[in-house]
Amino acid sequence: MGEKKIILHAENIRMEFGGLLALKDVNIDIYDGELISLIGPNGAGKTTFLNIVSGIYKPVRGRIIFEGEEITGNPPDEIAYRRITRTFQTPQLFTNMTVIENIMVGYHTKIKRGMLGCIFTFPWTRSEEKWIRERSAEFLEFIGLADKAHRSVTALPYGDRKKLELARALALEPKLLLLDEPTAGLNMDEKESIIKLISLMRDKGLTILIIEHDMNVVMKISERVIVLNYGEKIFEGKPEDAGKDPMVISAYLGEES
Amino acid sequence: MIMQYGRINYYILIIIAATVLAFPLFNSNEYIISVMNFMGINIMIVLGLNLLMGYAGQISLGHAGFFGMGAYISGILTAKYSINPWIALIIAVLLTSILALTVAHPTLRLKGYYLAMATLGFGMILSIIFVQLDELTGGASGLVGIPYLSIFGFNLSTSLRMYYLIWVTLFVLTVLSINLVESKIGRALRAIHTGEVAAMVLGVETHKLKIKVFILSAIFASLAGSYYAHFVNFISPSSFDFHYSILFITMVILGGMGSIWGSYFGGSLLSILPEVLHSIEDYNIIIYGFLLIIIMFFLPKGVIPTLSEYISNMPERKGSIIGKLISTYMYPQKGK
Amino acid sequence: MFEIILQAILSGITVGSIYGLIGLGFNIIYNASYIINFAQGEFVMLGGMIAATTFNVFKINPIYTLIISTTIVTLIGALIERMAIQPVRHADVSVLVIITIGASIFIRGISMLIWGKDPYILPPFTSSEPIIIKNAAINPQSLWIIGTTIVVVIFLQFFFKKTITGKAMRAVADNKKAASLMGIKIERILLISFGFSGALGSIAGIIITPITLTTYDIGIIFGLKGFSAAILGGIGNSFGALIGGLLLGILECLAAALVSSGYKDAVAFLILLLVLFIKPSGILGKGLIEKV
Repeated sequence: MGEKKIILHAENIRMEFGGLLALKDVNIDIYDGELISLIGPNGAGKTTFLNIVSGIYKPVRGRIIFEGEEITGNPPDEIAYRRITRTFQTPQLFTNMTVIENIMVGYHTKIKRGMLGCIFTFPWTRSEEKWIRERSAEFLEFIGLADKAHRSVTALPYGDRKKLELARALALEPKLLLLDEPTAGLNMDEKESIIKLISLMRDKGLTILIIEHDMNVVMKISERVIVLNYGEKIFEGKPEDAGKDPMVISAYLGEES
Repeated sequence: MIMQYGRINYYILIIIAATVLAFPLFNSNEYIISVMNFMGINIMIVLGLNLLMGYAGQISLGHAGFFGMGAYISGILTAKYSINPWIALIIAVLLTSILALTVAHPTLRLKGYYLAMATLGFGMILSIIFVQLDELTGGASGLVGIPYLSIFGFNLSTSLRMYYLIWVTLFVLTVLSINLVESKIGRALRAIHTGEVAAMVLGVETHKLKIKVFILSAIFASLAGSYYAHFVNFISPSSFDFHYSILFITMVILGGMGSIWGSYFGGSLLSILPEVLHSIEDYNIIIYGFLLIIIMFFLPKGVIPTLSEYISNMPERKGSIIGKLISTYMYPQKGK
Repeated sequence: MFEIILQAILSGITVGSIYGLIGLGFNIIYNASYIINFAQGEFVMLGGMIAATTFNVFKINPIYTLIISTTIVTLIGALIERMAIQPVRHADVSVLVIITIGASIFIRGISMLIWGKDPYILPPFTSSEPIIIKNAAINPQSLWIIGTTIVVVIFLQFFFKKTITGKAMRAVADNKKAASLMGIKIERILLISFGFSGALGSIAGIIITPITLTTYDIGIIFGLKGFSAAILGGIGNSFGALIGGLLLGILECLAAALVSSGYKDAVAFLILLLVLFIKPSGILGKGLIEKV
């Protein structure tokens, strides 16, 4: 694999909500090309961390450095242009659009056309429209949703929604992909499907951070695991070692997995 | 929306345009043409407002203010300062845009009720200014002596002549709107409406886009205002108050938020209704209030989107001929 | 100069009390449901209108007039909640905004049909001779207004702290889930809240009518200003609504006295905008919760 480069460096991250301390001096490094899992009991601060990296929250203290540049407090859309994107615990699909249109939004950063450029041109004269539509159709074909391309997303079953949201994020061709519980609420087959997709992406060199509760999934696909508890990092290392670490065990004993 | 896929909107526009433009050949009754003119003006405003409300999902309870700005700036510059009406119109659009820009930035950071109240407050302030700056605006009694528009010396002094100007302009604006809706930015706007955070993490500059759409909708309203001033040659503050802001909202909601043809539907129906119910004019307000509630209860998406969804679900119904037609012609790639 | 300012402040306190009462009405509904009731101003209008009709047309004794009109408006408030809000309680904020706007327009329209566009008046509760203090004239009705407001506030304090229903309402405002787990019926609380706001609005309308007269469309302005008061003070905070109202009233009257009376109404809206832009949570407030 060669020398491991740090692609994301989160330094002394501290996050508060009102008086509530959500993250305390969290230091996390993510290496280029790895698939790392962020786990911990509910309320440990995992999603908060994700929200900070994706620009939705600005940390009270600390820095986020991505590919050598500081992105702390940058807005999410700016961060997206750096090719960091994410999915959500509950799929945030655009319910006023069809399945294929949702994927097409994923290509937003790939096209350089502003509002005036859109208003004063006809759709069929824009070469990028055809490109987006074709790529989106291909993508849908790839994930097995091609026959539902023109349906409203509200008609999709939960498993397909998760798949679609993931595909939409991938359309952006991210360098760093943050997934918030990508297999939550899915049955065995659906989980397999998502895992296959994630593994495929990892094999293509995509760096992925996953928040997960399902330990089987974590064991199966992660190279590294970071455990948070009450806003602090309590373990970092190989997945199989996490299960043996006393601090991790006691953290989870307080909670029903 | 599903029915906006592809070129179909342009075809619909051509049909509507042909019908409207040919209409006076069959019936040039002055009264009807006048009503159609007001209808066209209303649809212009509603078209812009719908881009804001239906696509970007931002509510504006003060849009009559922009309508008024266009009317007053055009009216004042031409009636009091004898400036060329077309130049005055451009100045009106520019000034309204600047105002919209100034207001948009802090306002559009608000959400829900806050946003609604801010736009309401802003519209009310404009209403008050129209009355109070009476040296310029003529105060509550209004501004008289607004000249006609003219094109290359040809005076647009009759309803019929304004009819063509208004409706052709509306059709041009409609083309531009369809262009916008069927585009990357159009999708981005719709995304903002239903998943603003998700849109942001995909790279959509939501705040800036909202501001741009806000300004765009203000421009449509300002243009409509200028046409209105030059059509009726007399304007007064009562045409631009809170009631009209609500009327425009009702038109958007009735026709369907996020539907271009919904704007046409809502705009035309609610322009004709007062005329039809002329004898019971006082019932207007009640009807609007009632309509708003009923629509929110039963057709929250509005008439046109509900209709179009019903139609587009038809392919799923077995043995439906219309359904087969739709799936063959509307979704040509489905066969692949 | 001093007299002018003093006069303005006194007028401001008077009208500010009204804004505070209306703002309280907003808060009560908001606290129970996070809904902003656009029809709040119409309750004010209805209170004044029904009282004026009961008194002038039916020649009913003032005390009964007060009771009757407040009762009627309370019922109207409850009716609106049952018919227009309850069915769509879980809908999107924008839907609810539009529904309450629709309700307010509807009420206004019906009022116009019943009463026309003419103004109506109630006589002052006591004499109409102004009381002079240091060259500033106080309208005795103002004292009634301020006095009534104080009484209402004290009553509300008692109600919310000592009665079961009041405590239930506070519980719902604090934590809806916990409250419902405790057996409090949220729907009933919502119904009561609307009724309450109707009552508050009605009282406000009745006491102000001797000074300002009442017409079918005063609801908009009063509603907006009451809302401004609530936002200024911090929505959700009842004490804030009062402070916001007083502040708004005083600023408005000062502006009218020192700058121009035509722009008086604009002051309220300007303040509203400024608060929304700079500190939406208001002076004392927790701020509007967004339903995410």
